[in-house]
This record gives sequence, C-alpha cells and structure tokens, in this order.
Amino acid sequence: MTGAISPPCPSLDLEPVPYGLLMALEDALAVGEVLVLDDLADFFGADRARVARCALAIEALSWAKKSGFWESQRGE
Amino acid sequence: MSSDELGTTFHLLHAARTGNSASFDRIFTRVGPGVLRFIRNHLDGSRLSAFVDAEDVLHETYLRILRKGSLETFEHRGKGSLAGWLCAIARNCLSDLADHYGAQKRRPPQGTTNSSRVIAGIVASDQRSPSSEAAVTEKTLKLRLAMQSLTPEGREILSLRNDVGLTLEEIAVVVGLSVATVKRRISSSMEALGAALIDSEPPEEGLPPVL
Repeated sequence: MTGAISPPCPSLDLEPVPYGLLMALEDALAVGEVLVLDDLADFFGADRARVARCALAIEALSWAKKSGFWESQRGE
Repeated sequence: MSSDELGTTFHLLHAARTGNSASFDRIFTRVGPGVLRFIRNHLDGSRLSAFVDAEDVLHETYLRILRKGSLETFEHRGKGSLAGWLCAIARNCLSDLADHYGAQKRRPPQGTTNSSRVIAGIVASDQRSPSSEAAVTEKTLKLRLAMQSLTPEGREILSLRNDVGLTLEEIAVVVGLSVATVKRRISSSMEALGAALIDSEPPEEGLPPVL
C-alpha cells in the first residue's frame, strides 16, 4: 500500500465510507464469502485501500467477539 | 437473545418493579457484564481511570437506578434496550466523575503514555494470574493498541456496537447523536481501526497484516 494509491491513514477530511459497505463486508465475512474488494469498492464508489482497511477492522472485531477479547480487557 | 429471553427479561423487569430484589439481581447479572466492559472501555487510557475503577462506576450506576426509582420509568423495547439504557446511565456517571475529579485538567499520577499503560496493564495482569498468560496474545495486544489509537468517541461507539451489541438506534440514544451521525462515526472508526492495525505491522514485511 502506498500513498500514491490512497492516504496512509484515514483523514478527518475524508468522507466516511458508506455504512452499507460495512454491512456488505460484514455479511460477506460472516458467511465466508471470498471477498472481491475491487467489486465492492466499485459498487459503492469507494477507494479499494479504504475498503481493505474496513475489512481488516471487521475481521479484527469479529475475532474479538469469538476470542473473548472484550471479556479479557484489563482488570476483568 | 431469543424471544423467550426477551419475554423473560420483560417479566423480570415487571417483578423487579414490584420490589422483587431477586429479579433485580437476575436482570443485572444478565446485562451487567456487557455494561461493565463498556465502562472499562470508556475508562481505558483515560485520565479518569487513575481515580476510579470500572466496578465502582457500575455500582454507582445501579445505585442511581435504585435511588431514583428509574426502573419504574424504563420502557422495555426489546433486545439491547436495557443494556443501552444502562450504558447511558453509566455514561452520565462517568461524565459526573470526570467533572468531580477534574480529570480533564489533571495528569495521571504516573505520567505515562496510553500505550505504555496498556502494556504495563497487560504485563501486570499476566504476572497476577498464570491462567491469563494464554489470553495475552499478540493479536490481543495489537487490537488493544489499535483500539487505543481511536478517539474516545470512536472506541465508545465500536464498543457499544460490537461488544454490547446495541442497534444503531440504541447507540444513538446512548451517545446523544442522530442515527445518521452514528453510522458515519462507525464507518470512520472502522477505517481508522483498520489503518491502525496495518500500522502495527512491521514496515519491512510489506505483506497484508493477519490478525
């Protein structure tokens, strides 16, 4: 991933990716669909790198739910 | 939560309102852990955490409900509504405590950074309990640090959505924003979380990070 393709990190100046895109990603990941980020990015008119970042976050939060991450927070 | 569970919650609420303390206990045993995690997430990395424990805030939340008889006026609207209502009260408690301790103007006693405090907490908990050793994984650390990099509001909203399991409408009530704004905050927080996870990977690898 390079800065030439997209900013290295989200900027407050950027319009957030559509919430529907997140839902589509979550649905696809939940049923184990092979994700075609380009297709989703095209459909929602979003930058592919940004879609990939969202997919990574969704995977991480899904793992958090399954692994007991939230329950293992410090102090519990 | 199944429809049976929803029905049970409704009946427990009804019993609690008539003074059945056992029903009150059962209700909060059911939803308390999620609310406690919401409070912990809210406190994690904040200056207020130097002054109060999450358990104290949860107790204060329960006490407010009992003192004010708020349970009488609570309207059960289905899955997540009770947890969302409790999170909203807990959020008010946190706000009041922050005002009380002047947390916004003070520095934590140790003067440490968020990241070092997180790591210190993990190490300390690891030393306290050998059984927790397996839980302290690289994935956990990466995700924890990535969550720490978000704004407090972003952490709060993702916690309410992905941990407590509230709907968009319920989150909007808790944080006092419109549903449309909540959606935008979730989207931007998700992307920021993904970016932080990518940043946590060693730069020389150049491969997609695997959580």
